[in-house]
Amino acid sequence: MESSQPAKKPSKRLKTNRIRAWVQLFFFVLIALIAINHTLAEDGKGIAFLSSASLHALCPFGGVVSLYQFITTGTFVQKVHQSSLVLMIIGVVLALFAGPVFCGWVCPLGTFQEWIAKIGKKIFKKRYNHFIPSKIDNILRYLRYIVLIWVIFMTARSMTLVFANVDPYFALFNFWTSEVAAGGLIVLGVTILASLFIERPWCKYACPYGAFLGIFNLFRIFSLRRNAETCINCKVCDKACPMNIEVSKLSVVRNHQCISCMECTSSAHCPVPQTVDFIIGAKK
Amino acid sequence: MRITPRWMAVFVVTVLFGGILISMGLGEWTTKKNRAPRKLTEGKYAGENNPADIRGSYTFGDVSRLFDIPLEDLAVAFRILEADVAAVPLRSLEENFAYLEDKLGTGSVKLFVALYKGYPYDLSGEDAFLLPEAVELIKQKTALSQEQLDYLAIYTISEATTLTTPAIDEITQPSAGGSEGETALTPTGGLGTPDPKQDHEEFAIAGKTTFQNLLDWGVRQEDIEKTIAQPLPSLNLLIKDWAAAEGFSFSTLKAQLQALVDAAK
Ligand code: SF4
Ligand code: SF4
Repeated sequence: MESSQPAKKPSKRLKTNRIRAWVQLFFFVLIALIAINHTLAEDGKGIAFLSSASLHALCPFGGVVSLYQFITTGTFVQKVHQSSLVLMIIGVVLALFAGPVFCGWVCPLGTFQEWIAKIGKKIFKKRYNHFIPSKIDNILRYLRYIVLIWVIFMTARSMTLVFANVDPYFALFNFWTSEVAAGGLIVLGVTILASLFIERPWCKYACPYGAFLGIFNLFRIFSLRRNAETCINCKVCDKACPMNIEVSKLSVVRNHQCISCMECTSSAHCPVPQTVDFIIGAKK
Repeated sequence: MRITPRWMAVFVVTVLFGGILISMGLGEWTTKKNRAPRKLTEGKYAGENNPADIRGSYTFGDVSRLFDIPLEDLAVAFRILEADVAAVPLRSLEENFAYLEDKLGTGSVKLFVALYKGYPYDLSGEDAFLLPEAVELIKQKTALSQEQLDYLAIYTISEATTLTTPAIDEITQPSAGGSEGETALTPTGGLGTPDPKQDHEEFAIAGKTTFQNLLDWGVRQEDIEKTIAQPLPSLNLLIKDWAAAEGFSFSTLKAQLQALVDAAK
């Protein structure tokens, strides 16, 4: 039974999810190094032991947008590589088990937005990430599905990587090259600015890959559950959630916006042990 | 069973890198550009590679393989004198024939391939040019329609244009194994001798500069050998390629050699 007592202040705040921060840093540095190495390799100065692949080759979303062409003609959209398809399959396997864990743990653009969020939190304190009224916000959260449909449709029709023209992820790791489109730089600039007010604005409102992975939250094998019997209704989980999901009102989180970051869990912010957790198998 | 962040981290890293390793083992992990063009979807050539989808990143080797055209024909059609025709990228055409003001480029290769193979090709809105040798080859290979003949009558680069061009770069400079026909295309300066009218730009070391160019520009062999710390390699070798093969930084080497060029002027 959920506690009907008034909310007690948790006695001790548990450590934040440091492991995730390290994993995110690792992938950010890895991708940044590969992007730099790609530029160096074009001048014959690449570092031998490090991949010099183009970022298009390391983007799982390339596999998603190329899927239609791959199935119908057996070829990939221009600039997309077979490795993108492999990464897409890996992303799907991860999502089948844990939802959009790629977003919460791997995606360097998500990590970058979280780093900027630290500045925003310092400036706006509690108001940070709460500027948009939730009614409007809830509707805006579906915008990314429109982006997803648009990208898939346009790519299938033009057989070119239309998304590259506005992709902030590519712009972030290629802003020093002539390969980056002006549209990508503009979207990146807007994302950086918006990240000072909203946590992960690109992920919430525009990312088509996040939209795709978000669908897996409806049936992911590792389910994120809140134990109402031990919950003290302190709402710390709600405050910790970068995606503004009200975990404290749910028994199982199936929200399409959850990025499986585990910040709400009892291993991170929830102060009561074994109250919010990713669980495999039956509810305990 | 509860999943802690530590387990989640192990899960993510293992699935991601494990998946990549498995795909590498299966030979499915390719991060190189996909070179397969789209296929023609209609007519009697349906299922064949579509020349309209030839890209500037292709090499002549790719074109030869994908469209089953002998490299020798491509070399003749586009006056490629490099020893390794297969390795020459299409995008270098525009650079090498810069004096033709972009008349010859990837679009020309698309047009050549389509006509050579006898594939249907929409000429409306087309403005690619071909060299006379390319047109000659096409005529030998296939029967052209009147529309195609009319097009080529306008869009063939005249021999006169190429012969009177003041600055022609190394694609038409005579190489050690160059034929007479090749030398006939050399600019008025003759066998690579610098034209006194050339401006500074033409003495600037770039990706297409060979060791022969350095000698032509007046740099002494000993000075080059001192800079590269070994005997002069094959004169027709691109300095950039040599630097990459020897593990040198091209930009550093370029700066050192440019200083020699500037001093020799
Ligand atoms: S589940 Fe949320 S509201 Fe309940 S105790 Fe944990 S942090 Fe507090
Ligand atoms: S619900 Fe929990 S796991 Fe999902 S995004 Fe919010 S904090 Fe992260």
